[in-house]
Amino acid sequence: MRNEHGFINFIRQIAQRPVALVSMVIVLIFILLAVIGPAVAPYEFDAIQRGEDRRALRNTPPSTTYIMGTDSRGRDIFSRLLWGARDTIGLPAVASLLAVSIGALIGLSTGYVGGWYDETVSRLMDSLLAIPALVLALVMITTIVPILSNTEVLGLVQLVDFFGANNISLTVVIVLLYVPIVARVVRSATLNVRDLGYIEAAKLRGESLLYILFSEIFPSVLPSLVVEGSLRLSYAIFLVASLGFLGLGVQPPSPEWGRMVLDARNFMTEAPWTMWFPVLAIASLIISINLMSDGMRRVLRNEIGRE
Amino acid sequence: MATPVIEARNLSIDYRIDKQWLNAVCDIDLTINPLQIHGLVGESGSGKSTLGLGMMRYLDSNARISQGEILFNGDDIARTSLSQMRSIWGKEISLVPQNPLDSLNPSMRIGKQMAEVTMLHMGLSQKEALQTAIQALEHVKIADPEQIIRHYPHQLSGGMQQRVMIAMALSTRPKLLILDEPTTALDVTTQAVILDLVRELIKEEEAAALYVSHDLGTVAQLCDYVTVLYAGEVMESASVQDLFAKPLHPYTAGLLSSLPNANHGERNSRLSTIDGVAPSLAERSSVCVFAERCPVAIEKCHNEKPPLEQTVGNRLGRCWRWQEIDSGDIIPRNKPQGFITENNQKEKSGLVLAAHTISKQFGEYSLLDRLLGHEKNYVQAVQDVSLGVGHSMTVGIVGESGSGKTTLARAIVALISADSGTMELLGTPLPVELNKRDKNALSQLRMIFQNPNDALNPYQTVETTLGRTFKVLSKENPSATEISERIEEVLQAVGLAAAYATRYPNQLSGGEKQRVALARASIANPALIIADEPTSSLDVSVQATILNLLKDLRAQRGASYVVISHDLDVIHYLSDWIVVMYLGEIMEQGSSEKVYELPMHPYTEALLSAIPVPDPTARHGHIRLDGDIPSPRNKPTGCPFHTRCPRYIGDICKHEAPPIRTTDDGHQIRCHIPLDDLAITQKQSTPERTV
Amino acid sequence: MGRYVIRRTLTLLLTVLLTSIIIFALTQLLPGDVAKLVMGREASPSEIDNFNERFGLDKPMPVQYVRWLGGFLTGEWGRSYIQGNPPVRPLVTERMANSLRLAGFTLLLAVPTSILLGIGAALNEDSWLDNAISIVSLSVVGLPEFVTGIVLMNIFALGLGWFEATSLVSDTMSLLDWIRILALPAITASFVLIGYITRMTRASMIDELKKSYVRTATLKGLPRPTIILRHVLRNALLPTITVIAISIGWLMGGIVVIENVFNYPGMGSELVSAVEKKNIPVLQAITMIIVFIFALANLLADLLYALLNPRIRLE
Ligand code: SF4
Ligand code: SF4
Repeated sequence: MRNEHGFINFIRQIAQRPVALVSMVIVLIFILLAVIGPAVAPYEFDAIQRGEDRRALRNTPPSTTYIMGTDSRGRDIFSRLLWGARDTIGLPAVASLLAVSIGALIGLSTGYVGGWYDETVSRLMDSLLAIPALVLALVMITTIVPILSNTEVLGLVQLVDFFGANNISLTVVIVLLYVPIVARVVRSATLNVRDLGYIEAAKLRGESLLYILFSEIFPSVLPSLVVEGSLRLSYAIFLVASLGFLGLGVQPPSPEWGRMVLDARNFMTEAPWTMWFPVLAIASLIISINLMSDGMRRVLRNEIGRE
Repeated sequence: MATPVIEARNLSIDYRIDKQWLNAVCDIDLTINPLQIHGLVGESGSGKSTLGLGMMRYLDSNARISQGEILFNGDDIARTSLSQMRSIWGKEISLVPQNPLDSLNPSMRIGKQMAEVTMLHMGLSQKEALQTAIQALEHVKIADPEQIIRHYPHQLSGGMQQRVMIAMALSTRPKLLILDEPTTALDVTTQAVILDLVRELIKEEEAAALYVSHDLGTVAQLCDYVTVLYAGEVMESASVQDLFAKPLHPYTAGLLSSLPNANHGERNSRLSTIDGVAPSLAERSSVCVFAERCPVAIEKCHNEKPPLEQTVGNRLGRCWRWQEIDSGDIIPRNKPQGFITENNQKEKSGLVLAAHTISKQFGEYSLLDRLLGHEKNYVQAVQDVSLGVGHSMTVGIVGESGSGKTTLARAIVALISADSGTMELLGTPLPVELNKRDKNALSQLRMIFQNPNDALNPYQTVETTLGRTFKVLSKENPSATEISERIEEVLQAVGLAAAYATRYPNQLSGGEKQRVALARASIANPALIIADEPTSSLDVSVQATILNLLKDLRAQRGASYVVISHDLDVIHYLSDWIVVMYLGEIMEQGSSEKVYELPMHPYTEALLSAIPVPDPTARHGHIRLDGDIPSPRNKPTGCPFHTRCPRYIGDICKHEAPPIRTTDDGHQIRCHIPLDDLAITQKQSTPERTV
Repeated sequence: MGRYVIRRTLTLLLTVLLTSIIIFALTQLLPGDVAKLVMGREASPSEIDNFNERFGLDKPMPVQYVRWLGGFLTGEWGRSYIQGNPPVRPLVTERMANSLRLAGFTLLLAVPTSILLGIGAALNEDSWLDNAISIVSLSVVGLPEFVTGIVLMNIFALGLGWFEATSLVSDTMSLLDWIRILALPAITASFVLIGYITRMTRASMIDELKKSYVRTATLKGLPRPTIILRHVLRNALLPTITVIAISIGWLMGGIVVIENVFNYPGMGSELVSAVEKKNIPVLQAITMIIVFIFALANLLADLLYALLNPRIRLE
């Protein structure tokens, strides 16, 4: 990524790796589904399908009408998956984007400025990292959800009404969890370039801190930030789905995929498809993201190795 | 004639890059006779290391021998199996590598690593092998070898590590030693000692050696026979005397005359240069590989590849025109274009930069240290250094690692803040902290960095870098056209076409990057440019063009320079005034002629004596320093040089810091020996450096 | 070495202390509310005051924190908020023992497997074996534990009937019974760890193989297996120690989910129910224990690393 066409070049190199290419296409399809899913879904996510006798079609196996079957309440699983893509992918995507931006800011500044500022902030980040992510998420959810539900702060109330206390807390949790990780990655990338000649040259012509951080350092940090960002996305999806499975994530009636697995769990033997389809969806999504970001990492490493 | 120890015939080695086999070295004929030290010289990318290791049939995983043979003991080792090679490696052919620290296993004791070889090849028991290791270490003059075998590599200095590698390589009494740039990572005073040792041991063991290097000086001093490699091909090979006395190939001739001391001390003439850059692996052609850069190329050269043939005597050469060169009909190098005329501002009175008693310490005293009651662990990087730079003057600072020369440079430009001392720029006080310096100070005082590869932001075009610098440092707000005019102007001044403005750094060669860096430093018309090792990462032929450029720029624009280098020849060529530093202190400073031609201070004398002169007939300096440079962490008391000083005069050197003695012409020497005595001893002992 | 050990220990203590503040602050952010949350909205003001007083919730925050931390360190972990207010410690320690069994068994499975896989991949860099190992490890590293857990349970417990789908633990069980119960949860937990440790081991092994000392060893004439075993392995596995410690953090999180999938009576399932019931004392105790275990693992890793690395040991 060393000249004008760096980005195109980057894409071209990824395209030369079959595994990375296929996984990238799959990821794009999933993202597309998250955007247009509700529009193309055959049914509403909470519409109970009924047979001719008006009784709910509970746990019907896949058929031409319901290609993935129906769940224990008689809702079309395919439609639920399409609707649920938004919460399963969208929320983690927004949250990781936030985490990446804040983390990048902290990483750049701590790495470049150093000194006691770096010492203090890094120590704080380490403390957050000393708690396993899922455990910290559980602890935070315990408090943040009630706080948000009972908030009277103007603006926040409207926000909570609009997005739901649960979704906002999940976002906050993901941001808090991943900011330290992103910051650590960006910090070490910053340390790699901090003492290079071109940064010192910028200092010696009296450039401001912001100029050095964003115009001189940021471009060289960007590649590792992109890779880390996609990894964070996959872990955020992982986390939201896991919390959903524990019944602590996105709340019903939203058809978030982890929650769908939880609901299907009691019918594992009699209606295994209710569980298999969401499980497959989650697995293929996360695996694709991982393979894609690994492909990106290898391309970038080659770029560096070639110099 | 004796049978050769090893002989390569028609040898070619390829690399697989991007799914293609590319020729790295091609059609090599190389013969090493018994007792011979054979030098293999080339610049970076010439394939010398590939060939050097290839001669012992060691190839990278993506390399192969595509043609030719390597005869060793009558066998063609280019074809033998790897398991057969294992009985040759370490036993009959050994390697002394470039970087000894990386080449030793960090988590294994020295003794065990050494013992491995003799246990494997001589069937010794562990105990015998350790005993042998101790003897081998004694052999390379390591004191206290019983202790050393119990050490881990990182506990030894660079010089010691390289002795260990040499001892290990020789412990099985091999027939052939491959020395791959064995002293490149070492300081010049250590290098001199190691090279002496190598020469002595090879003769003593009756081995032969292949010495791979980019440094013509060490080749001239160490080798018997030389092969010059360029773009993967042998350009010529000859005995060291013949080659240096009369190169028959334009490349060799160009290389020799681009050395900074090629003008025999005539510092006002340009160095001759080799224009252009060496072709990359993918660009190698089927004509003369040197044709693009050759000053005497004719049409035939661009159409047909010359053969490697016998020339005068038993020399080999690969050039269509060697007869004409031999007869003196053509002169195969760029004639330097005359003398450099200085625009004389030296009469301007006052100093551009005056620095008084600058000191800088490193190392922190952490809370934990305080809690544990540890001693402060400071490194005194620079101590009480004072110097002045006049108008249109170049001051050269020379020193080995740990001398503090780079710290001093960085303190002057305020990349680090000096702990104490004061500075003045053009008569006005210059704050030690960067953020207290105003725009004027920033634009008058500029810097060129050591490594051209990271001096330019890889994500910015040349234009962006230069334009931004000009805009930020200009007093008035320049308009867009003014900026682009100015960019064109400076690019021209550093010898680059205007089209370079739109290039990114990865589209530039190392020399071109350094030119851009020079352009950036001079774009806002500074009064003083600090250049930290401006050429140390460049090849000799490129170095010459940059040195010429630095001289030209000074002549045209009248800026002053402070040049920092470990290479005394470079410093001597560029500077009017030389400052010699050792462990953070100035040992001697004076006019270039005085310091270089008649060094007074014992350290300067030793430093000069250690420089390998690229002339096999020159009497090599004879002063060798004991031990390695002490770590600045444990700086010796009194005179910092007393642990190694050959003229040590007693306890006074150990306990008392020597006084600064100044002669009438401002020449300063820090030594307890009185000036007159120094002058006398030095006259007696200094060998003629130039012929 | 001494300096290094002291520095690491102090840093770690500081981190744990900060972490405990974070945990405490997070869990105490909703004073006043706790009583209502626990006792229901209908609770009378006097009942709430009573509750607050009994649990010390009426004191200022710093006082509460010091009391809590002091209590935690001296083994006085308080009483649960739920019916009958049973003491927290016996409950949590029993659960902890179960969880540690599961964690230990998982490490026993995962660490040797992944080191072998990592070395195998590195020694055959870019071969089909390496590619296969890479893709598989990248895939399993991203699979949420509930996904793998449910799939494995379906196949091996419900389908083939080799193992139990739920975990009924009792004191009188034999080792074999334990293995039958632990097998599926441990295999599930291993997946993510194997994915992660394999990839890191492979990377550090490949780095190591490129170093110059390997060339030196080759040019001594040593056979390749000797070079790998005697020279490369030790240096290559040094970073793996740290990697294992980091993955213990993962393991502690993964266990929470896995215990829920398999209804395994460990800290994780207790933690989830504490969250649901807002049972703060239990939540705090379990979280602190997990943090301690993780910190201890890191400290041990640091010490081991220093001990095996002469550069640090001989400082
Ligand atoms: S063959 Fe021609 S181009 Fe090549 S070195 Fe000789 S004169 Fe120059
Ligand atoms: S003061 Fe003594 S030790 Fe120092 S250089 Fe002079 S003679 Fe040598």
